[in-house]
Amino acid sequence: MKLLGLVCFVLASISHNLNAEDSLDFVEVAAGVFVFQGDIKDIFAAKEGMVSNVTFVIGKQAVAVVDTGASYKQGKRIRAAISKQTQLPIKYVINTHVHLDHIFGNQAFVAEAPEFVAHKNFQQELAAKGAYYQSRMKTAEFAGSEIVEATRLIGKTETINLGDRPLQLTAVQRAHTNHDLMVYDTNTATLIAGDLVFVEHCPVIDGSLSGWLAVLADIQKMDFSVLVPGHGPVQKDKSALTKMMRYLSDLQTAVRVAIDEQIDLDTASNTVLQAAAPEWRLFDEYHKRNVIAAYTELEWE
Amino acid sequence: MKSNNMLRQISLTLCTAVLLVSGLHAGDAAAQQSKRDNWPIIRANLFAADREIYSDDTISLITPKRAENAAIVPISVIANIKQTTDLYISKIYLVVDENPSPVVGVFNLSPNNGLASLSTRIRVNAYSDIRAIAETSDGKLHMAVNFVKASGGCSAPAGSNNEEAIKRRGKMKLRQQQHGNLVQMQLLISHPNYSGLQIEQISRHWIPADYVNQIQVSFDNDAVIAFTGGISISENPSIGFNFKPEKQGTLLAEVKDSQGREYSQSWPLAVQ
Repeated sequence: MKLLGLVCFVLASISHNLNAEDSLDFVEVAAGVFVFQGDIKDIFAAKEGMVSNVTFVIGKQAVAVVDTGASYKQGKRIRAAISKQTQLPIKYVINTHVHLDHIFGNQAFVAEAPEFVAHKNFQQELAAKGAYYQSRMKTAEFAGSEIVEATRLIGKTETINLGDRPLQLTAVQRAHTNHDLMVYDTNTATLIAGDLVFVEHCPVIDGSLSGWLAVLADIQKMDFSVLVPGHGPVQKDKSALTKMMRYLSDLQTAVRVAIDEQIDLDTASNTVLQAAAPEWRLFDEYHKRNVIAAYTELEWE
Repeated sequence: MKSNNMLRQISLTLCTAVLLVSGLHAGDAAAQQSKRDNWPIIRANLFAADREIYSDDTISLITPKRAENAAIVPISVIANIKQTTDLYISKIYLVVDENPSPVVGVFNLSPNNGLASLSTRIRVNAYSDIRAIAETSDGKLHMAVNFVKASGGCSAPAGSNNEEAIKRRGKMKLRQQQHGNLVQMQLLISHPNYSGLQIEQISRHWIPADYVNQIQVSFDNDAVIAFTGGISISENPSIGFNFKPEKQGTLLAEVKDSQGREYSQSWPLAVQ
Protein backbone atom coordinates (compact mmCIF):
# COMPACT_ATOMS: atom_id res chain seq x y z
CA MET A 1 0.00 0.00 0.00
CA LYS A 2 2.76 2.34 1.04
CA LEU A 3 4.72 1.51 -2.11
CA LEU A 4 1.66 2.19 -4.26
CA GLY A 5 1.24 5.54 -2.51
CA LEU A 6 4.86 6.39 -3.27
CA VAL A 7 4.49 5.44 -6.93
CA CYS A 8 1.35 7.58 -7.21
CA PHE A 9 3.18 10.44 -5.57
CA VAL A 10 6.09 10.14 -7.99
CA LEU A 11 3.74 9.98 -10.99
CA ALA A 12 1.81 12.93 -9.69
CA SER A 13 5.05 14.87 -9.29
CA ILE A 14 6.12 14.04 -12.85
CA SER A 15 2.80 15.10 -14.32
CA HIS A 16 2.94 18.25 -12.20
CA ASN A 17 6.34 19.07 -13.63
CA LEU A 18 5.11 18.48 -17.16
CA ASN A 19 2.22 20.83 -16.47
CA ALA A 20 4.67 23.44 -15.36
CA GLU A 21 5.62 23.97 -19.01
CA ASP A 22 2.06 23.54 -20.16
CA SER A 23 -0.32 26.27 -21.21
CA LEU A 24 -3.12 27.79 -19.18
CA ASP A 25 -6.78 27.13 -19.85
CA PHE A 26 -8.23 30.10 -21.68
CA VAL A 27 -11.90 30.39 -22.65
CA GLU A 28 -13.00 32.27 -25.78
CA VAL A 29 -15.51 34.72 -24.31
CA ALA A 30 -16.15 36.59 -27.58
CA ALA A 31 -14.83 35.97 -31.12
CA GLY A 32 -11.04 36.19 -30.82
CA VAL A 33 -11.08 37.22 -27.14
CA PHE A 34 -9.62 34.63 -24.78
CA VAL A 35 -9.70 34.84 -20.99
CA PHE A 36 -7.92 32.93 -18.25
CA GLN A 37 -9.70 33.35 -14.92
CA GLY A 38 -7.44 33.50 -11.88
CA ASP A 39 -8.23 31.93 -8.53
CA ILE A 40 -10.07 34.14 -6.10
CA LYS A 41 -7.37 33.85 -3.46
CA ASP A 42 -4.61 35.80 -1.84
CA ILE A 43 -1.64 35.92 -4.22
CA PHE A 44 0.66 34.04 -1.86
CA ALA A 45 -1.97 31.36 -1.23
CA ALA A 46 -2.49 30.53 -4.91
CA LYS A 47 -0.28 28.42 -7.14
CA GLU A 48 2.34 30.66 -8.73
CA GLY A 49 0.27 33.62 -7.65
CA MET A 50 -2.28 33.03 -10.41
CA VAL A 51 -5.07 35.13 -8.95
CA SER A 52 -5.75 37.71 -11.64
CA ASN A 53 -7.51 37.39 -14.98
CA VAL A 54 -5.49 37.42 -18.19
CA THR A 55 -6.90 38.23 -21.64
CA PHE A 56 -5.55 38.03 -25.16
CA VAL A 57 -7.15 39.38 -28.30
CA ILE A 58 -6.30 38.13 -31.80
CA GLY A 59 -6.56 40.45 -34.80
CA LYS A 60 -5.78 39.83 -38.46
CA GLN A 61 -2.14 40.78 -38.08
CA ALA A 62 -1.24 40.73 -34.43
CA VAL A 63 -2.10 39.76 -30.89
CA ALA A 64 -2.48 41.88 -27.77
CA VAL A 65 -2.14 40.47 -24.26
CA VAL A 66 -3.88 42.31 -21.44
CA ASP A 67 -2.13 41.61 -18.12
CA THR A 68 0.37 38.81 -17.70
CA GLY A 69 -0.26 37.31 -14.28
CA ALA A 70 2.02 37.18 -11.29
CA SER A 71 5.13 35.35 -12.42
CA TYR A 72 7.50 34.59 -15.24
CA LYS A 73 6.27 30.99 -15.12
CA GLN A 74 2.68 32.08 -15.57
CA GLY A 75 3.78 34.38 -18.40
CA LYS A 76 5.35 31.41 -20.22
CA ARG A 77 2.14 29.45 -19.84
CA ILE A 78 0.17 32.35 -21.25
CA ARG A 79 2.59 32.45 -24.19
CA ALA A 80 2.08 28.72 -24.73
CA ALA A 81 -1.72 29.14 -24.70
CA ILE A 82 -1.51 31.90 -27.31
CA SER A 83 0.65 29.68 -29.55
CA LYS A 84 -2.10 27.10 -29.52
CA GLN A 85 -4.51 29.62 -31.04
CA THR A 86 -2.37 31.59 -33.46
CA GLN A 87 1.09 32.07 -34.90
CA LEU A 88 0.58 35.82 -35.31
CA PRO A 89 3.11 37.97 -33.46
CA ILE A 90 2.37 39.51 -30.08
CA LYS A 91 2.64 43.19 -30.81
CA TYR A 92 1.25 44.60 -27.58
CA VAL A 93 1.46 43.66 -23.93
CA ILE A 94 -0.94 45.91 -22.04
CA ASN A 95 -0.73 46.26 -18.27
CA THR A 96 -3.96 47.54 -16.73
CA HIS A 97 -2.03 48.65 -13.62
CA VAL A 98 1.10 47.89 -11.67
CA HIS A 99 -0.11 45.45 -8.99
CA LEU A 100 2.12 42.43 -8.75
CA ASP A 101 -0.53 39.89 -9.71
CA HIS A 102 -0.94 41.61 -13.10
CA ILE A 103 2.56 42.42 -14.34
CA PHE A 104 5.15 39.84 -13.43
CA GLY A 105 4.52 37.57 -16.40
CA ASN A 106 5.77 40.41 -18.67
CA GLN A 107 9.25 38.92 -18.75
CA ALA A 108 7.99 35.95 -20.78
CA PHE A 109 7.24 38.31 -23.70
CA VAL A 110 10.34 40.51 -23.65
CA ALA A 111 12.21 38.41 -26.23
CA GLU A 112 9.58 39.15 -28.92
CA ALA A 113 9.90 42.89 -28.28
CA PRO A 114 6.24 43.91 -28.17
CA GLU A 115 5.20 47.37 -27.08
CA PHE A 116 4.55 47.36 -23.34
CA VAL A 117 1.57 49.65 -22.98
CA ALA A 118 0.33 51.28 -19.75
CA HIS A 119 -1.22 54.38 -18.15
CA LYS A 120 0.97 57.50 -18.06
CA ASN A 121 1.48 57.11 -14.28
CA PHE A 122 2.50 53.47 -14.59
CA GLN A 123 6.25 54.04 -14.71
CA GLN A 124 6.23 56.13 -11.55
CA GLU A 125 4.30 53.49 -9.69
CA LEU A 126 6.50 50.73 -11.04
CA ALA A 127 9.55 52.60 -9.79
CA ALA A 128 7.95 53.07 -6.40
CA LYS A 129 6.60 49.57 -5.94
CA GLY A 130 8.46 47.14 -8.20
CA ALA A 131 11.41 46.45 -5.95
CA TYR A 132 9.14 46.10 -2.94
CA TYR A 133 7.04 43.54 -4.78
CA GLN A 134 10.11 41.60 -5.83
CA SER A 135 11.31 41.52 -2.26
CA ARG A 136 8.11 39.69 -1.37
CA MET A 137 8.44 37.17 -4.22
CA LYS A 138 11.41 35.16 -3.07
CA THR A 139 10.06 31.65 -3.61
CA ALA A 140 10.94 29.48 -6.62
CA GLU A 141 7.44 29.96 -8.05
CA PHE A 142 8.30 33.56 -8.79
CA ALA A 143 11.80 32.94 -10.13
CA GLY A 144 12.69 35.00 -13.20
CA SER A 145 9.90 37.51 -12.65
CA GLU A 146 11.74 40.67 -13.65
CA ILE A 147 10.53 44.25 -13.71
CA VAL A 148 9.68 45.25 -17.28
CA GLU A 149 9.37 48.92 -18.18
CA ALA A 150 6.43 50.22 -20.15
CA THR A 151 7.47 51.44 -23.61
CA ARG A 152 4.28 53.26 -24.55
CA LEU A 153 2.33 55.38 -22.11
CA ILE A 154 -1.30 56.39 -22.56
CA GLY A 155 -2.25 59.87 -21.39
CA LYS A 156 -5.96 59.75 -22.05
CA THR A 157 -7.28 57.62 -24.90
CA GLU A 158 -5.57 55.96 -27.83
CA THR A 159 -6.52 53.28 -30.31
CA ILE A 160 -4.19 50.50 -31.35
CA ASN A 161 -5.00 48.16 -34.21
CA LEU A 162 -4.35 44.43 -34.41
CA GLY A 163 -5.48 44.28 -38.07
CA ASP A 164 -9.20 44.97 -38.59
CA ARG A 165 -9.37 44.94 -34.85
CA PRO A 166 -9.15 48.32 -33.13
CA LEU A 167 -8.65 48.33 -29.36
CA GLN A 168 -9.51 51.54 -27.53
CA LEU A 169 -7.27 52.19 -24.57
CA THR A 170 -8.54 54.58 -21.89
CA ALA A 171 -6.44 55.92 -19.02
CA VAL A 172 -8.84 56.90 -16.26
CA GLN A 173 -8.60 59.22 -13.25
CA ARG A 174 -7.55 57.89 -9.85
CA ALA A 175 -9.79 54.92 -9.10
CA HIS A 176 -8.69 51.40 -8.09
CA THR A 177 -5.15 52.81 -8.35
CA ASN A 178 -3.85 56.13 -9.71
CA HIS A 179 -2.99 54.55 -13.06
CA ASP A 180 -5.78 52.26 -14.29
CA LEU A 181 -5.97 51.56 -18.00
CA MET A 182 -8.96 49.83 -19.59
CA VAL A 183 -9.27 48.19 -22.98
CA TYR A 184 -12.32 48.10 -25.22
CA ASP A 185 -12.51 45.73 -28.18
CA THR A 186 -14.81 47.48 -30.64
CA ASN A 187 -15.45 44.43 -32.83
CA THR A 188 -17.08 42.40 -30.07
CA ALA A 189 -18.04 45.19 -27.64
CA THR A 190 -15.87 43.57 -24.98
CA LEU A 191 -14.62 45.72 -22.11
CA ILE A 192 -11.45 44.44 -20.46
CA ALA A 193 -11.65 46.45 -17.28
CA GLY A 194 -8.66 45.24 -15.28
CA ASP A 195 -9.15 45.84 -11.58
CA LEU A 196 -11.57 48.67 -12.22
CA VAL A 197 -14.09 45.86 -11.93
CA PHE A 198 -14.02 43.10 -9.30
CA VAL A 199 -16.55 40.24 -9.41
CA GLU A 200 -17.03 38.03 -6.33
CA HIS A 201 -13.57 39.11 -5.06
CA CYS A 202 -13.85 41.95 -2.55
CA PRO A 203 -12.82 45.19 -4.32
CA VAL A 204 -9.52 46.70 -3.13
CA ILE A 205 -9.00 50.46 -2.88
CA ASP A 206 -5.46 51.62 -3.63
CA GLY A 207 -6.36 54.89 -5.32
CA SER A 208 -9.43 56.92 -4.56
CA LEU A 209 -12.86 55.73 -3.51
CA SER A 210 -14.64 58.81 -4.85
CA GLY A 211 -12.66 58.71 -8.08
CA TRP A 212 -13.42 55.03 -8.54
CA LEU A 213 -17.15 55.59 -8.11
CA ALA A 214 -17.01 58.28 -10.78
CA VAL A 215 -15.17 55.96 -13.19
CA LEU A 216 -17.62 53.13 -12.52
CA ALA A 217 -20.52 55.46 -13.27
CA ASP A 218 -18.89 56.09 -16.67
CA ILE A 219 -18.37 52.37 -17.24
CA GLN A 220 -22.00 51.71 -16.40
CA LYS A 221 -23.04 54.03 -19.23
CA MET A 222 -20.84 52.18 -21.72
CA ASP A 223 -22.32 49.88 -24.27
CA PHE A 224 -20.60 46.55 -23.84
CA SER A 225 -21.83 43.00 -24.25
CA VAL A 226 -18.95 41.25 -22.49
CA LEU A 227 -17.19 42.51 -19.38
CA VAL A 228 -13.85 41.00 -18.33
CA PRO A 229 -13.11 41.96 -14.71
CA GLY A 230 -9.63 41.90 -13.17
CA HIS A 231 -10.78 39.23 -10.75
CA GLY A 232 -13.74 36.86 -10.93
CA PRO A 233 -15.86 35.46 -13.75
CA VAL A 234 -16.56 37.18 -17.07
CA GLN A 235 -19.93 38.98 -17.21
CA LYS A 236 -22.53 39.36 -19.93
CA ASP A 237 -24.59 42.00 -18.15
CA LYS A 238 -24.18 44.83 -15.66
CA SER A 239 -25.50 43.18 -12.50
CA ALA A 240 -22.08 42.43 -11.02
CA LEU A 241 -20.97 45.98 -11.82
CA THR A 242 -24.02 47.35 -10.03
CA LYS A 243 -23.32 45.15 -7.01
CA MET A 244 -19.75 46.38 -6.81
CA MET A 245 -20.84 50.01 -7.09
CA ARG A 246 -23.29 49.43 -4.27
CA TYR A 247 -20.50 48.13 -2.02
CA LEU A 248 -18.27 51.12 -2.74
CA SER A 249 -21.04 53.63 -2.39
CA ASP A 250 -22.30 52.04 0.85
CA LEU A 251 -18.71 52.16 2.08
CA GLN A 252 -18.46 55.85 1.19
CA THR A 253 -21.70 56.62 3.03
CA ALA A 254 -20.83 54.54 6.10
CA VAL A 255 -17.31 55.96 6.40
CA ARG A 256 -18.62 59.53 6.11
CA VAL A 257 -21.01 58.76 8.96
CA ALA A 258 -18.17 57.27 11.03
CA ILE A 259 -16.06 60.39 10.46
CA ASP A 260 -18.98 62.68 11.36
CA GLU A 261 -19.64 60.69 14.51
CA GLN A 262 -15.92 60.85 15.35
CA ILE A 263 -15.58 57.11 15.48
CA ASP A 264 -11.83 56.52 15.48
CA LEU A 265 -10.05 54.86 12.58
CA ASP A 266 -9.33 51.57 14.34
CA THR A 267 -12.89 51.15 15.56
CA ALA A 268 -14.23 52.16 12.16
CA SER A 269 -12.04 49.60 10.39
CA ASN A 270 -13.49 46.88 12.61
CA THR A 271 -17.14 47.89 12.49
CA VAL A 272 -18.03 49.80 9.32
CA LEU A 273 -20.14 47.87 6.77
CA GLN A 274 -19.39 44.43 8.20
CA ALA A 275 -22.86 43.48 6.99
CA ALA A 276 -21.46 43.25 3.46
CA ALA A 277 -19.21 40.32 4.46
CA PRO A 278 -21.37 37.50 3.04
CA GLU A 279 -21.43 39.17 -0.37
CA TRP A 280 -17.69 39.04 -1.06
CA ARG A 281 -14.90 36.54 -1.02
CA LEU A 282 -11.67 37.67 0.69
CA PHE A 283 -13.74 40.24 2.59
CA ASP A 284 -11.75 39.70 5.79
CA GLU A 285 -8.51 40.20 3.90
CA TYR A 286 -9.43 43.49 2.20
CA HIS A 287 -12.45 45.20 3.70
CA LYS A 288 -10.75 46.68 6.78
CA ARG A 289 -8.04 48.03 4.57
CA ASN A 290 -10.69 49.60 2.36
CA VAL A 291 -12.24 51.29 5.37
CA ILE A 292 -8.84 52.75 6.31
CA ALA A 293 -8.26 53.95 2.73
CA ALA A 294 -11.73 55.47 2.54
CA TYR A 295 -11.48 57.07 5.97
CA THR A 296 -8.10 58.72 5.35
CA GLU A 297 -9.36 60.00 1.99
CA LEU A 298 -12.78 61.23 3.11
CA GLU A 299 -11.67 62.90 6.36
CA TRP A 300 -10.14 65.63 4.17
CA GLU A 301 -13.40 66.36 2.28
CA MET B 1 17.43 69.55 20.12
CA LYS B 2 18.94 66.96 22.32
CA SER B 3 16.06 64.63 21.65
CA ASN B 4 16.44 65.09 17.89
CA ASN B 5 20.08 64.08 18.06
CA MET B 6 19.14 61.17 20.18
CA LEU B 7 16.55 60.00 17.69
CA ARG B 8 19.05 60.24 14.88
CA GLN B 9 21.65 58.32 16.79
CA ILE B 10 19.27 55.47 17.50
CA SER B 11 18.14 55.44 13.89
CA LEU B 12 21.69 54.99 12.68
CA THR B 13 22.44 52.26 15.19
CA LEU B 14 19.44 50.29 14.12
CA CYS B 15 19.49 50.92 10.40
CA THR B 16 22.07 48.22 9.81
CA ALA B 17 20.21 45.71 11.94
CA VAL B 18 16.97 46.36 10.11
CA LEU B 19 18.58 46.14 6.70
CA LEU B 20 19.84 42.70 7.61
CA VAL B 21 16.49 41.59 8.90
CA SER B 22 14.59 42.93 5.93
CA GLY B 23 15.92 40.16 3.72
CA LEU B 24 13.88 37.66 5.68
CA HIS B 25 10.44 39.07 5.06
CA ALA B 26 7.06 38.78 6.44
CA GLY B 27 7.24 35.14 7.45
CA ASP B 28 7.88 33.59 10.79
CA ALA B 29 11.58 34.24 10.59
CA ALA B 30 10.99 37.98 10.80
CA ALA B 31 8.50 37.44 13.58
CA GLN B 32 11.07 35.44 15.52
CA GLN B 33 13.70 38.05 14.92
CA SER B 34 11.51 40.86 16.06
CA LYS B 35 11.06 39.86 19.66
CA ARG B 36 14.67 40.07 20.63
CA ASP B 37 17.28 42.35 19.34
CA ASN B 38 16.49 46.01 19.33
CA TRP B 39 14.83 46.92 22.57
CA PRO B 40 17.95 46.80 24.78
CA ILE B 41 19.70 49.24 22.39
CA ILE B 42 16.70 51.54 22.25
CA ARG B 43 16.23 51.42 26.00
CA ALA B 44 19.87 52.25 26.62
CA ASN B 45 19.57 55.30 24.37
CA LEU B 46 16.33 56.55 25.89
CA PHE B 47 16.73 55.90 29.61
CA ALA B 48 19.53 55.63 32.13
CA ALA B 49 20.32 52.00 32.90
CA ASP B 50 19.41 52.33 36.58
CA ARG B 51 15.89 53.59 35.87
CA GLU B 52 13.39 50.84 36.42
CA ILE B 53 10.57 50.43 33.91
CA TYR B 54 7.40 49.12 35.52
CA SER B 55 4.99 46.91 33.62
CA ASP B 56 1.99 48.07 35.62
CA ASP B 57 -1.50 49.35 34.79
CA THR B 58 -0.68 53.04 34.51
CA ILE B 59 -1.27 52.88 30.76
CA SER B 60 -2.57 50.35 28.29
CA LEU B 61 -1.95 50.19 24.59
CA ILE B 62 -4.51 49.42 21.89
CA THR B 63 -3.19 48.26 18.53
CA PRO B 64 -4.73 46.15 15.79
CA LYS B 65 -3.55 42.52 15.93
CA ARG B 66 -2.66 42.69 12.30
CA ALA B 67 -1.95 45.97 10.56
CA GLU B 68 -4.24 46.06 7.52
CA ASN B 69 -2.18 48.80 5.96
CA ALA B 70 1.34 48.95 7.36
CA ALA B 71 1.67 52.61 6.37
CA ILE B 72 -1.34 53.58 8.50
CA VAL B 73 -1.53 51.64 11.76
CA PRO B 74 -3.85 53.26 14.29
CA ILE B 75 -2.61 53.05 17.89
CA SER B 76 -4.07 54.37 21.12
CA VAL B 77 -2.52 54.80 24.54
CA ILE B 78 -5.09 54.66 27.31
CA ALA B 79 -4.20 56.39 30.56
CA ASN B 80 -5.61 54.51 33.53
CA ILE B 81 -4.83 57.32 35.99
CA LYS B 82 -6.26 60.85 35.92
CA GLN B 83 -4.05 63.87 35.41
CA THR B 84 -3.92 65.64 38.77
CA THR B 85 -1.40 68.24 39.91
CA ASP B 86 -0.20 65.71 42.50
CA LEU B 87 0.49 62.96 40.01
CA TYR B 88 0.22 63.05 36.25
CA ILE B 89 1.70 61.52 33.14
CA SER B 90 4.22 64.05 31.87
CA LYS B 91 5.59 62.16 28.87
CA ILE B 92 4.63 59.29 26.64
CA TYR B 93 7.27 57.69 24.44
CA LEU B 94 6.16 55.55 21.50
CA VAL B 95 8.57 52.94 20.16
CA VAL B 96 8.35 50.46 17.28
CA ASP B 97 11.28 48.12 17.89
CA GLU B 98 11.77 47.02 14.29
CA ASN B 99 11.39 50.35 12.51
CA PRO B 100 14.45 51.96 10.92
CA SER B 101 13.78 54.87 13.25
CA PRO B 102 12.28 53.05 16.22
CA VAL B 103 11.40 56.02 18.39
CA VAL B 104 8.13 57.23 16.86
CA GLY B 105 8.21 60.24 19.13
CA VAL B 106 7.69 61.73 22.53
CA PHE B 107 4.53 63.47 23.70
CA ASN B 108 4.63 66.02 26.50
CA LEU B 109 1.50 66.23 28.61
CA SER B 110 0.32 68.12 31.67
CA PRO B 111 -2.52 68.23 34.22
CA ASN B 112 -4.34 70.40 31.63
CA ASN B 113 -5.17 67.26 29.70
CA GLY B 114 -7.41 65.83 32.40
CA LEU B 115 -6.58 62.44 30.95
CA ALA B 116 -3.33 61.60 29.18
CA SER B 117 -4.88 59.12 26.72
CA LEU B 118 -3.79 59.76 23.15
CA SER B 119 -3.94 58.21 19.71
CA THR B 120 -2.04 58.48 16.46
CA ARG B 121 -1.30 56.57 13.24
CA ILE B 122 2.09 55.10 12.60
CA ARG B 123 4.14 53.18 10.07
CA VAL B 124 5.19 49.71 11.10
CA ASN B 125 8.00 48.25 9.06
CA ALA B 126 7.97 44.63 10.18
CA TYR B 127 6.44 42.26 12.67
CA SER B 128 7.30 44.25 15.72
CA ASP B 129 6.74 44.99 19.35
CA ILE B 130 5.16 48.38 19.81
CA ARG B 131 5.77 50.07 23.15
CA ALA B 132 4.31 52.99 24.98
CA ILE B 133 6.34 54.20 27.94
CA ALA B 134 4.75 56.75 30.24
CA GLU B 135 6.79 58.91 32.56
CA THR B 136 4.82 60.09 35.56
CA SER B 137 5.53 63.35 37.40
CA ASP B 138 7.20 61.37 40.21
CA GLY B 139 9.84 60.31 37.69
CA LYS B 140 8.74 56.70 37.33
CA LEU B 141 8.49 54.88 34.02
CA HIS B 142 5.58 52.61 33.10
CA MET B 143 5.41 50.51 29.95
CA ALA B 144 2.76 48.72 27.89
CA VAL B 145 3.79 46.48 24.98
CA ASN B 146 1.85 44.94 22.09
CA PHE B 147 3.04 42.81 19.21
CA VAL B 148 1.78 43.83 15.77
CA LYS B 149 1.97 41.89 12.54
CA ALA B 150 2.75 44.18 9.63
CA SER B 151 5.46 44.71 7.10
CA GLY B 152 6.67 47.34 4.71
CA GLY B 153 5.22 50.44 6.37
CA CYS B 154 8.25 52.66 6.20
CA SER B 155 9.31 51.86 2.68
CA ALA B 156 5.84 50.97 1.42
CA PRO B 157 5.22 53.43 -1.36
CA ALA B 158 3.34 56.50 -0.34
CA GLY B 159 -0.37 56.34 -1.00
CA SER B 160 -1.85 57.43 -4.26
CA ASN B 161 -3.35 60.54 -2.71
CA ASN B 162 0.12 61.85 -2.16
CA GLU B 163 -0.28 64.70 -4.66
CA GLU B 164 -3.23 65.82 -2.58
CA ALA B 165 -1.12 65.67 0.58
CA ILE B 166 1.49 67.91 -1.05
CA LYS B 167 -1.08 70.37 -2.38
CA ARG B 168 -2.64 70.63 1.04
CA ARG B 169 0.65 70.58 2.95
CA GLY B 170 0.32 72.36 6.28
CA LYS B 171 -3.45 72.51 6.20
CA MET B 172 -4.94 71.36 9.50
CA LYS B 173 -8.25 70.15 10.85
CA LEU B 174 -9.35 69.95 14.44
CA ARG B 175 -12.20 67.75 15.58
CA GLN B 176 -13.70 68.29 19.01
CA GLN B 177 -16.05 66.14 21.01
CA GLN B 178 -17.09 66.82 24.58
CA HIS B 179 -17.16 63.97 27.11
CA GLY B 180 -18.21 65.25 30.52
CA ASN B 181 -15.67 67.88 31.52
CA LEU B 182 -13.15 66.69 28.95
CA VAL B 183 -12.91 67.67 25.31
CA GLN B 184 -11.58 64.88 23.12
CA MET B 185 -9.66 66.31 20.19
CA GLN B 186 -8.16 65.06 16.98
CA LEU B 187 -5.64 67.22 15.16
CA LEU B 188 -5.07 66.32 11.50
CA ILE B 189 -2.14 67.82 9.63
CA SER B 190 -1.88 67.43 5.87
CA HIS B 191 1.72 66.52 5.12
CA PRO B 192 3.25 63.78 2.92
CA ASN B 193 5.58 62.91 5.84
CA TYR B 194 8.23 61.38 3.63
CA SER B 195 10.25 58.91 5.63
CA GLY B 196 13.42 59.19 3.55
CA LEU B 197 13.01 55.50 2.76
CA GLN B 198 10.69 55.93 -0.21
CA ILE B 199 11.87 56.13 -3.80
CA GLU B 200 11.02 59.20 -5.84
CA GLN B 201 8.76 57.96 -8.55
CA ILE B 202 10.31 59.65 -11.58
CA SER B 203 14.01 60.11 -10.83
CA ARG B 204 14.17 56.93 -8.71
CA HIS B 205 16.29 58.70 -6.17
CA TRP B 206 15.47 58.26 -2.54
CA ILE B 207 13.07 60.97 -1.48
CA PRO B 208 14.81 63.02 1.19
CA ALA B 209 13.09 62.79 4.53
CA ASP B 210 10.53 65.56 4.91
CA TYR B 211 8.32 65.04 7.89
CA VAL B 212 6.56 66.79 10.70
CA ASN B 213 8.98 66.74 13.64
CA GLN B 214 7.35 69.13 16.05
CA ILE B 215 3.78 69.83 17.06
CA GLN B 216 2.77 72.17 19.84
CA VAL B 217 -0.80 72.70 20.88
CA SER B 218 -1.60 75.45 23.35
CA PHE B 219 -4.71 77.06 24.80
CA ASP B 220 -4.40 80.79 25.45
CA ASN B 221 -0.62 80.27 25.91
CA ASP B 222 -0.99 77.24 28.19
CA ALA B 223 0.65 74.09 26.84
CA VAL B 224 -1.85 71.35 26.00
CA ILE B 225 0.24 68.74 24.22
CA ALA B 226 3.57 68.75 22.42
CA PHE B 227 5.05 66.16 20.14
CA THR B 228 8.63 65.71 18.98
CA GLY B 229 9.18 62.87 16.59
CA GLY B 230 10.52 61.15 13.56
CA ILE B 231 9.60 59.40 10.37
CA SER B 232 7.40 56.68 11.79
CA ILE B 233 4.28 58.84 11.91
CA SER B 234 1.99 58.13 8.92
CA GLU B 235 1.35 60.50 6.04
CA ASN B 236 -1.07 63.25 7.09
CA PRO B 237 -0.24 63.01 10.80
CA SER B 238 -3.17 62.60 13.16
CA ILE B 239 -2.98 63.11 16.90
CA GLY B 240 -5.83 62.48 19.30
CA PHE B 241 -5.67 63.87 22.84
CA ASN B 242 -7.77 65.25 25.68
CA PHE B 243 -8.11 68.69 27.16
CA LYS B 244 -9.88 69.85 30.28
CA PRO B 245 -10.84 73.47 29.70
CA GLU B 246 -11.50 75.83 32.59
CA LYS B 247 -12.81 78.65 30.36
CA GLN B 248 -13.58 79.64 26.78
CA GLY B 249 -10.55 80.43 24.68
CA THR B 250 -8.52 79.74 21.57
CA LEU B 251 -6.63 76.60 20.75
CA LEU B 252 -3.46 77.09 18.70
CA ALA B 253 -1.55 74.38 16.83
CA GLU B 254 2.00 75.15 15.70
CA VAL B 255 3.73 72.65 13.48
CA LYS B 256 7.30 72.44 12.16
CA ASP B 257 8.68 70.00 9.64
CA SER B 258 12.18 68.68 9.05
CA GLN B 259 12.64 71.06 6.10
CA GLY B 260 12.12 74.01 8.41
CA ARG B 261 8.61 74.91 7.23
CA GLU B 262 6.28 76.24 9.89
CA TYR B 263 2.52 76.13 9.94
CA SER B 264 -0.05 77.27 12.44
CA GLN B 265 -3.77 77.35 12.77
CA SER B 266 -6.18 78.23 15.57
CA TRP B 267 -9.72 77.36 16.57
CA PRO B 268 -12.14 78.62 19.18
CA LEU B 269 -12.74 75.95 21.77
CA ALA B 270 -16.27 74.64 21.60
CA VAL B 271 -17.33 74.11 25.20
CA GLN B 272 -20.97 73.89 26.20
